[in-house]
Amino acid sequence: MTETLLSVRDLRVEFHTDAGVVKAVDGVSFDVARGEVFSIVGESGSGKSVACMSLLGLIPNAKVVGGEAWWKETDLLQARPELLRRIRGGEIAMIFQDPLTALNPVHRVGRQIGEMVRIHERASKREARDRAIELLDLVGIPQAERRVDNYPHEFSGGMRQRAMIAMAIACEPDLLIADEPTTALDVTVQAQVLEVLLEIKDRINSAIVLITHDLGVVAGMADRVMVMYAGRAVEMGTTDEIFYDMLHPYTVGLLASLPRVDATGEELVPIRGAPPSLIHVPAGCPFHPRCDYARLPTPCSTVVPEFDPVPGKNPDHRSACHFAEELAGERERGKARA
Amino acid sequence: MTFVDQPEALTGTPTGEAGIADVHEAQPLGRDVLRRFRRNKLAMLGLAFIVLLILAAIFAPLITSYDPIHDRARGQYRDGPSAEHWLGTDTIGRDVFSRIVYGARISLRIGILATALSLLIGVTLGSIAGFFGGIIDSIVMRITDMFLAIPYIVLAIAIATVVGRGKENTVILVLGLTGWLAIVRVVRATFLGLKELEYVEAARALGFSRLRIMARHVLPNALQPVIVYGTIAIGGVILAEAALSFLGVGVFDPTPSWGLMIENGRRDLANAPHMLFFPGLAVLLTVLAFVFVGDGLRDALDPKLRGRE
Repeated sequence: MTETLLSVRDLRVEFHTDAGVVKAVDGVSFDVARGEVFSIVGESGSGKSVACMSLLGLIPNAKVVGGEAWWKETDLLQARPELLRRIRGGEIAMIFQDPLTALNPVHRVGRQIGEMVRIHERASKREARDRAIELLDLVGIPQAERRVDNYPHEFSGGMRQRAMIAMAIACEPDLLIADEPTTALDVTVQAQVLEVLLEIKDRINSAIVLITHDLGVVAGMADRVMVMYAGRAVEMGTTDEIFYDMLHPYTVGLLASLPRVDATGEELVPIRGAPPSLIHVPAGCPFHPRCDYARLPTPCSTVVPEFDPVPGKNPDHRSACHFAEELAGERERGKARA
Repeated sequence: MTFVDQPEALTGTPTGEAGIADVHEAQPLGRDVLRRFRRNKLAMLGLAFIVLLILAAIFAPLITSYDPIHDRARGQYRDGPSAEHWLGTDTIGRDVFSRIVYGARISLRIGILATALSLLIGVTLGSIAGFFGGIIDSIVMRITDMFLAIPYIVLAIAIATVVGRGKENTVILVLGLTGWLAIVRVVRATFLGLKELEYVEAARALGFSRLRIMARHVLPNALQPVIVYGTIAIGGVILAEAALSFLGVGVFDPTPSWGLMIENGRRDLANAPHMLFFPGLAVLLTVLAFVFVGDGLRDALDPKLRGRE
């Protein structure tokens, strides 16, 4: 059995605003094992970034109101700030969405990368610089020994994101959290950067948590997927299960709203309505006002569905839908007809 | 797969991505800044004047043969400009030109040291307030407000009286201790804007300590307004020194200070206007020069103008 690196249980994160309490993450659980790419998918505001960043204490005004997050022998949610700071960057590193703003414009790229080694491993200046060159080379920056002395504005977008990756992997962390790592890049560069990420992951034997709304990226990279909606997990399974055997209407809707190469001529079906306000989450299943399968008023608008395995399916494939079984059955009948 | 970027990415043109760069994005004080500064004629003129002034202050004994304190021309009191005394003499026969040249030493020393003291206090307090925020911010800013509420001259006289009037160090202390108020606000505001930026968040996510983030990552980006303000402030301090000396809380006679010379000249304005005019001109030109250089720096450092021809 593979080693479980991170184990999050029933994480609850709230923001207290003037308008009310925002339940950004409402009871989310997941595990990440060494070597895998675990993807968290959802619309903007579904809580996917908050769930990961709050683990590392990176959202100052967020209140973690419940849950546990076990990292090795430590509960990250209870850890002292000093310990958390050592874990950040050293054991768990983050890659940010926008490489154009995530590098400090006044320092040389090499120095920023070297700084990681210097503070976490107390390396000398000389060692840090050599390490920076090595890392830049590793992430595929040509002429690394010359580029190491460049400033960020002398790098292209794709190169900056690679420099960010180099920074994140400088201390060979066990877990890389990549928050929309390719959103700011154009498609060809995206593919290269993702390839670099995967290569690096295998080289340093770590795991990746990939936060994204881009299902194309998920299909190409992820081993397992968790779909989030309104701060809750609605479906979790292997990438194949999520794409070909989805057990939640929201996942069905997400995939139907995507263009597919193998389904030319079919119209795209958007999910009707808009994501709910996280201050007034709909009662019962939060997705019911937008769901085509909802049976109203009960149980969908009254009972919160459990996030459970579905009978007859892989026990690790969970769905938070009252009618997950029917949904699966209906699709199988559809397939049989076709 | 091999990772070779576009050829133009490899040449690394410094202004290549100016268009999409963040507004706060600073660039190292490199050729770009220098080039833009050089194109600003007023700023270059100001810089030339300052350089000249510094040279004059350093080589004062070579420029003028009169001692500003001890050489007194007998029988030539309040004389206007002549071949012997280029800018005339003062009430007790001292050479005005030589006193202005030596006065540049005092003015520049006070201007630079007092500004340095203000910057030290202002940048430290401003960084702390802006970076940590919350209750620390409130305390620092309320203390600043308290100082702002006291009229400047009253504060200056009070400090001068406490430390002892008449000495040059006192003047530096007085001006240094009254000049930091605006700097705190400038630095704090810049910090508030900068700390929201993603590279600060990224630095936190990668395990950098708060102190390190503040000193190494935020502060260098906040230096632009500080450099500009500091340059202009030197001019302001020189003016303030003149004002203090004029009011009698600055340095005392016989120290050759521009403010003191103006004060002395005021009494003989009707019969010997040169005694007020020339030191006044020296103050005016020096202050203007620093303001021009500060303005030039602001324009040259402004990232929004980067790459614009």
